[in-house]
Amino acid sequence: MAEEIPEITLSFADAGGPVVFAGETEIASVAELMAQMPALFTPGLATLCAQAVNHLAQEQTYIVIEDPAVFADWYKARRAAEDPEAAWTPGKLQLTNFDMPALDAITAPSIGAKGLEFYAVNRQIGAPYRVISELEATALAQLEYVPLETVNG
Amino acid sequence: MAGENLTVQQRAFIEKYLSKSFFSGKKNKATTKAYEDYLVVEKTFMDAMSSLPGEDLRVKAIGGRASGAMAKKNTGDFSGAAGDLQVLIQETNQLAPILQGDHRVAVRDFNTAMTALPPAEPRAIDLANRAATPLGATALTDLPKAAVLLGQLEGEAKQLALTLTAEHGLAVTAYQLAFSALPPEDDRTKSIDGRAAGPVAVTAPAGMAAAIVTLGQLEAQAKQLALTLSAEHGLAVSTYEVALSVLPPGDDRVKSIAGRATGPLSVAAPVGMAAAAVTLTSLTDEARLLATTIKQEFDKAVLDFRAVMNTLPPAETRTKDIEGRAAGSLGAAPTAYSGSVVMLGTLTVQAGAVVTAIGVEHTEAVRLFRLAIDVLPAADKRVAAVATKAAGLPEKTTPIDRHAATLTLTALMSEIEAAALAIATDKTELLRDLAKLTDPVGATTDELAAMKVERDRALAAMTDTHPTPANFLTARNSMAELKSQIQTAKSLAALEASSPKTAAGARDAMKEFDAVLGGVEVSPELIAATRKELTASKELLFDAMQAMADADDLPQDTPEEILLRDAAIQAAEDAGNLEKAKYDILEAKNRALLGKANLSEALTFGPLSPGSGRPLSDDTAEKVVGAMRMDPELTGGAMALLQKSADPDALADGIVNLCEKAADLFEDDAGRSFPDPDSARAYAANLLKAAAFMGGTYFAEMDDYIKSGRQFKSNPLGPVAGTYQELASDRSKALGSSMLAPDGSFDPSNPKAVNALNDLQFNPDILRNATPSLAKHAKEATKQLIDNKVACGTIIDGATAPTNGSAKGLVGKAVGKTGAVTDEDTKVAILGAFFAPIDQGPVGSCFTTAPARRFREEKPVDVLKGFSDIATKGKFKSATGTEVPAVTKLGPGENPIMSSWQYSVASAAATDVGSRERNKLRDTMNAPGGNDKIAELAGGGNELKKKAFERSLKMAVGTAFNFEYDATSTVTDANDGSSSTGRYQLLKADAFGAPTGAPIVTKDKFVEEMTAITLKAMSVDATSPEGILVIDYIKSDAYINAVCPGKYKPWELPSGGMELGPTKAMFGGTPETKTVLARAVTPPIPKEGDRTKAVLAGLSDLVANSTDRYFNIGTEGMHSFNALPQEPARKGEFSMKDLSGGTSVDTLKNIEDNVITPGKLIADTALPADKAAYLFDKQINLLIAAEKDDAVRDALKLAAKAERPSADAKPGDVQAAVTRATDVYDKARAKRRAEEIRVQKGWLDGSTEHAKSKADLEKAFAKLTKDASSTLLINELGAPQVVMADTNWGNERTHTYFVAVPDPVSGELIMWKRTDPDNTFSPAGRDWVDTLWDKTE
Repeated sequence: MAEEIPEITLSFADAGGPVVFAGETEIASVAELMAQMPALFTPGLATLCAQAVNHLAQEQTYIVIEDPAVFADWYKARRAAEDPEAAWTPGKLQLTNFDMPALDAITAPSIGAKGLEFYAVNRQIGAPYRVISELEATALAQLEYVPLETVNG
Repeated sequence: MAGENLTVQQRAFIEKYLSKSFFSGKKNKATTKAYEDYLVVEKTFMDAMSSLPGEDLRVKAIGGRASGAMAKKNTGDFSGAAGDLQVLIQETNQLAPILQGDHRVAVRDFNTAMTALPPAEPRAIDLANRAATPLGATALTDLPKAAVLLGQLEGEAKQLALTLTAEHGLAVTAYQLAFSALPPEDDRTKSIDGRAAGPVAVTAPAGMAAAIVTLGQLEAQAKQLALTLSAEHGLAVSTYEVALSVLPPGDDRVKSIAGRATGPLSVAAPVGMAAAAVTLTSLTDEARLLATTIKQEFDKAVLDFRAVMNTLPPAETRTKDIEGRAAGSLGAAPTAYSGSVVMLGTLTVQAGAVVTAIGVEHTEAVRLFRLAIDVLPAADKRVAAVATKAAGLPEKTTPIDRHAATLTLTALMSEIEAAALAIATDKTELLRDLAKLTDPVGATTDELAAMKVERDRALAAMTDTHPTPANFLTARNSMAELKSQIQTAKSLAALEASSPKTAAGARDAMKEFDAVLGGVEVSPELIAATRKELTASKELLFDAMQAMADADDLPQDTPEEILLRDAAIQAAEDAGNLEKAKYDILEAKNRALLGKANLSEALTFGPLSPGSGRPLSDDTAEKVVGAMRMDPELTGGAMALLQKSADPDALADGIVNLCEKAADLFEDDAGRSFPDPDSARAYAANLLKAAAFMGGTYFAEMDDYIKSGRQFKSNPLGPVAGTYQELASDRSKALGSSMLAPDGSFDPSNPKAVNALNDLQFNPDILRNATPSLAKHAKEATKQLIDNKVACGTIIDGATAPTNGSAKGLVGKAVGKTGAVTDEDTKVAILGAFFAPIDQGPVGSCFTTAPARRFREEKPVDVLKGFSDIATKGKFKSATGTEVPAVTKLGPGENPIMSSWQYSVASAAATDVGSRERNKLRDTMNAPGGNDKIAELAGGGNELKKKAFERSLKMAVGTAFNFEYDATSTVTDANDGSSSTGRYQLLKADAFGAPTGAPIVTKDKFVEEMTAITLKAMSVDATSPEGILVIDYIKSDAYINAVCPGKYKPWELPSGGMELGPTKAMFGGTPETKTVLARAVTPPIPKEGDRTKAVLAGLSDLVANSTDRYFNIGTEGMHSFNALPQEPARKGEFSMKDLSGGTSVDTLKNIEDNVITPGKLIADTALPADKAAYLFDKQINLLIAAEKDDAVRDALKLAAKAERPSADAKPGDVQAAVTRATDVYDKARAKRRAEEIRVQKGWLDGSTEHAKSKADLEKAFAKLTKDASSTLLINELGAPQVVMADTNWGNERTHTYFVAVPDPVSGELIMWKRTDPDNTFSPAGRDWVDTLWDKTE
């Protein structure tokens, strides 16, 4: 049975940096999080874990994709609504700026043998990314956000 | 019971005797029986009597005798009474046959009388009708009366027969009376008479009634015929009178007819009218025939008259007089025809006399005209014009033509006099102008001698009183030549002081040209004619060569054939030699003409002239003169390049070099050469253009290239594509491919690479479709690859075919493949991108392009790595570690790898910008009085709740909002009224953070969204007490004042800063934007010149210590680009770094002294009239040459003729003249283009869109003309230029810079867009200098 964990809240410190509140405990790094909330790094809490790690690593640049189907629906609908002939425009989010990503590859956050794996969408460009990291503090602190392959790959 | 039908008497009798029981008993019974018997007899008697006419006397007699029987009865003797009555009854029975017999006799007599009568006659019918009853009577009681009546009717019938006889007699008489008035010979009379014979002869009354009727009718017809005859006679009379009325009464023939008509006209009785009518009809016909005859006589007279009159000039007085006198006769009524015929005959004779007179007058006029004109030079255009007008007039033959000719010739006499006067005036003016062409100071003895020759020739041509045009031409040619000699001598004398070698060389050159030309005046017409002759001669030369080749191919199998072949060869050779001699002469003449024309122009107005805006050094100018002697055509074409060249000295060297090479037909080391001088010269001209743009070591490298023979390689970088973009893409790819050694490894110095770069710069096929901007960039790129060979080699050699889909697509597109791509394809795509210039595409990518151009310059290896990542991985990783997928949405013609990289940089930058803007917004909302206050209100004093709310609110701001850039968003500053354009805008974010809905651009909308977001983040109900407090607070000024104390407003985010993201993505670090010069908002707004000076000074000071080539700067909200600190516009001019002084005051002084003051001098100095005209012509002639529509071109020529400067004029005056001259032309161009657009768009003619399009085009064409004028003035007058910045704007052929140049018209320093390599200038507009200038570092 999973260990009881306090309520996890994502926020920002008064100084501005990203923090995670575990109850009233303010945590500002993945290492701290692992030390103080080891139970978070278990398969049953993979989504919460991904959100916390993503927040500490990238603040609000990416949003963790919790439900791949919901995301895929959103992505396809928004892309379809765009004018395919519209030129690339600086500072404007257009999913058609890019080739179609392999949405089928997206899974819900998980913690398994390879460690923590989740998918996230970049708020500014709408592109989905794959994130995978061993459950190790240093690795988690330097998460690599890799753009998803495209379907014609 | 018996007695019921008793008569009154019987009843009375019964009353009297029976009812009073007069009879009774047995006696009574017997008596009664007798009485009853009596009653039976009495009844029989009474019945018999009642059937007889009571009035008949015989009946009356029987009745009388019945009274006896009555008396017996009354006595009771009934049986006696009955017996008496029985007797009477027999008598009555005997009386009936008698009565019937009387009636039959009466009937018979009546019928007999009636048979003599006509049964249909009305009166007979009446008798018959009246007789019908008595005739049909049968009752005895009626018969006596009927018989009497019939007897009366019989009498009437007889009387009627007599009456009818009398009536017939009357009818016959009446008829015969009527008939007697008719002409017996008339057929109608005869007809009546025939029909009357029967009725007249009737004698029996029975036939008389019908006869009377017929006779009555015939009588009526006879009377009617009499009337008809009278009418016919009347008609004949009136017809005759009408016919006679149109005849001239005095004519004898008319009189004769009238005399013969007198009798028939006077006939009054019908009996004579038929014959009279016939006679009148005959006379009428005669009259009519006579009328025709008289009309013909009149018509002939008119025709005869008109035939003569029509030969006379209608407006002539005598003609009009005769015409006037003939008017009455010509318009005469038929009754006056005979008299008119006589009159017209007289006038016709008089008209003939006028014809003769006109002939005499014409002969005299011709004689006088010839006397006057023959003394003048026939070739003079004014004399010729008169002669042309008089052409054919002496030969006129008809009176009209002769009279007109007489008038014209008379009128032309004054024109002849005017022409004579004009020739004399021309002569006077020419001699006066000649006198003004005095020997210039400083002219050499040879020059003076040459001038004297021309002056004497001009004077000699003017010895006649009226010199011929040929005389004038000779004189004017000599004067033009003299003028040219004077100008050249003046220029050379002036040049001698500063450029003695040039002056000496030019004099020698002029002598050389004159020696060939022998004093012939050089004119554009002569040059064109000579060129035409030269071309024709060349063709003949080719024909001769062909003939030689043909002769050479002739068979030589027999001695005879050999002889024939030799003869043919000899003939072809002779012909060829002859033509070659002609060609050489023409070629020398052409060279001398061009040499003299081009050198004169260069010395007078061009780069060799003393007044040149950018005078050349003596050495350079001397070389140019030398080149002019070698190849005046090529050198002449290079003069414009020299004037705008960045390095004229180097270019002058190159001109000499190219003249030599063109002369050698670009022979390579293997002895191959171009086929003819023209193609060699065309190639040389293209090389010169390229050299003027490329500068540096171009010519030195060219020498090796020419030696190598690659100039003979056809399209070495691939075939010529359809568009320049495609061509550039192919060439970039070819260059990239050339960087790979045969084994596929990177080797930027391998021979293939060297050749490819050289081909791009020097190959004739490439230069025919030159891509100079690409060439310049490729040269720099090659150097970068060589300088960083190892690092670049690592990248290229490590590049393999991508597995990433986007990368595969981009590489495939770059190398033109649709299937699988190879490692080599990938390398070629990367290197090809490296050779593609990074220019701002059609999308507004300046915020990325500007730092990218700097990045490309400063970190070429990183750029190559970026390209490699795009090509091999389909991703770009920023300097900050942000990785983004490769953008694959590209514009048409863009280099796939380079553009994807550029846009991917922007994508990575957007990620950073989003983060930056989110943080800023969150920090803003976290200000004291912001989130904390809201949390406090919602917490209701619960500290734990307050903390939790604060945490949620901090996240909510970043989650609920996102940002997008809007290049068009304009916000006006309420404080100073200034506006800024282009900014990020706040939008709501959807579930995955993407911006959605409309931008939040008002405070109210922001408050509304913040309220919703806040309540949602804290899960507070809006209607709860806490919710109400929160809502009220967010709406309050206290909240907005707390979170937005400064200028930052989430609904009006600040402009600018767009370049920071891309800069950071490429360079890393923490770039910042700093203001260089605040926006010009404070009144009074400075003059554009002052503001430009401030901008230039600001930038100059900014880059004072920079060693970089590029320096990222921007104009807020408008554009991001790179200052060029060290780039002088041209050799000898100033870069911004040169202008920067120790202090800003020094910098401003440097700008004033070195740029503004010289520029103002140019604007304020009046140009000599001939130079002003030269500049005017130069621009106008280009427009004239380019215009295809004859009418528009003619209108332009006409306007130009009127506006061409004829006196000294400042540059502004020249431009104003050009503007005036081209006004109609620009409007015509605009109208034509607007019409094309209207048709294309389907707009209605005159619609609002059409009108606006036309108005816009008029402005645009006027601006084009003005820009062209400014360009010409800047380049020709040498206005000082300072390169301020690289705009990012360009393509494979051109590139545009911001330069500060004093306007040669106003003298004000303004910022221009200068586009190379053509050095065209267009004012940037003062918006550019007025805005805020910043830098990114």
